[in-house]
Amino acid sequence: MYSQFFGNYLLSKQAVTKEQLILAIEEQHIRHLKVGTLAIHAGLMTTEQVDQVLMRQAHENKRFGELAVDAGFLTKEQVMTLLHEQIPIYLLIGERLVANGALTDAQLEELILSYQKENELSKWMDDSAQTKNLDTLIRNLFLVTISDIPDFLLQYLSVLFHNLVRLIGEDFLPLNPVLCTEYVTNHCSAQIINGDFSLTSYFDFEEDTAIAFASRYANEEFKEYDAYVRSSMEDFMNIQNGLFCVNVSNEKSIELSLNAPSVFDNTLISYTSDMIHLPIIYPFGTLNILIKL
Amino acid sequence: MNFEDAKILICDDSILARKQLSTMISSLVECTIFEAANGQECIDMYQQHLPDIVFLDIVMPIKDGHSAIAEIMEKHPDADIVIVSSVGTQAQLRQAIQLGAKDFIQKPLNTLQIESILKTRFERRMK
Repeated sequence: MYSQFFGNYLLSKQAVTKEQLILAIEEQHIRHLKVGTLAIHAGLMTTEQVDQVLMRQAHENKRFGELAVDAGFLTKEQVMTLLHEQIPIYLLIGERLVANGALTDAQLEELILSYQKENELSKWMDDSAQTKNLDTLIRNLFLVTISDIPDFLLQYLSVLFHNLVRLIGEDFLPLNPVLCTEYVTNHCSAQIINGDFSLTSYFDFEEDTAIAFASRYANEEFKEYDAYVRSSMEDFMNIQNGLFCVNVSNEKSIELSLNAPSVFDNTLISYTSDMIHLPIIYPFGTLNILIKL
Repeated sequence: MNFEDAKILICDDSILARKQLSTMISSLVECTIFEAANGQECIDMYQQHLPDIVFLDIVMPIKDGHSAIAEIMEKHPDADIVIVSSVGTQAQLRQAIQLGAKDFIQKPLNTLQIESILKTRFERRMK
């Protein structure tokens, strides 16, 4: 589930440019992944076994899966599972980066392995194993910006990534956060959390992105930036911040309260100290998240 | 399910949440639905229509859900108020129940939750 962070890892290693990555995210719906590639990443076949099957395939008019079953590398059930398994986003994006010439197959393979190792990820097909490592992934994402990320910010971001996956879709990539004191909004929702600590969050979108985001959230096709789109932006923020308050209350016995969310356009947000700007890229545009602690 | 003459009041500052909840309820029961966008409107509409059930959000501008429950319960102690909120902490829940709310639903909504709430009322009404 948290292979979303792989794109940021590629940027941090300067393996690809931001433009190459964004193009790959936009093109991720083009799926030509081969069963062999999926089998390697599911840990079911080695690269040598895949090569062996590919060599046989050059001489026999059979599908990869059939030949892998014939050779005893896969069972029929495993082939069916691979074909129907939801393909992790890192493979979809990786495949597009290779297709666009940004990476070679070998480079992609090496980067995936080093990413897994550095983030202690071992089972790519196992959601629970990856969920346990979400905190590590978030810490690494913020490493350059905030070396010692506060616990409640970590928890806020953890809830946020879960909610994005659950309510909008898992086809996003977070970029490295930056610190800033000023930001000019496009179409922005905002909400203040008060209590033992205070946190103000802003979710900002360009118009088309806001419409697409709202359409996914409400599961309805919106055509223009209207009251329903603004309401969707507020509702998503309210649910995100509400669930964060519930988690903090349950886990730390800290009671927080929420102000009613608001939506405003083309406004300068300005503070005397830093706020965090975290861009989240979806195929339909960028969600700019600003957090003021 | 058939409520026919039942009246349901939805109070939420979100136009989308009102529309979604109204659509869910309409798909489950035949009834008359009224909508309010804040706590004060909710109190006024309650007085005017005396609904059988109120679905009420907590965090709202002008007057919040807790204030609305307190004022409605003061005049109508039998009011059937269901809290629908994104902030389902134990403290919020306790406060809502102490004020007189009968149920609590955590957002985002799903039809099964609403169906369960309506079924309980519908079956109770059949007795």
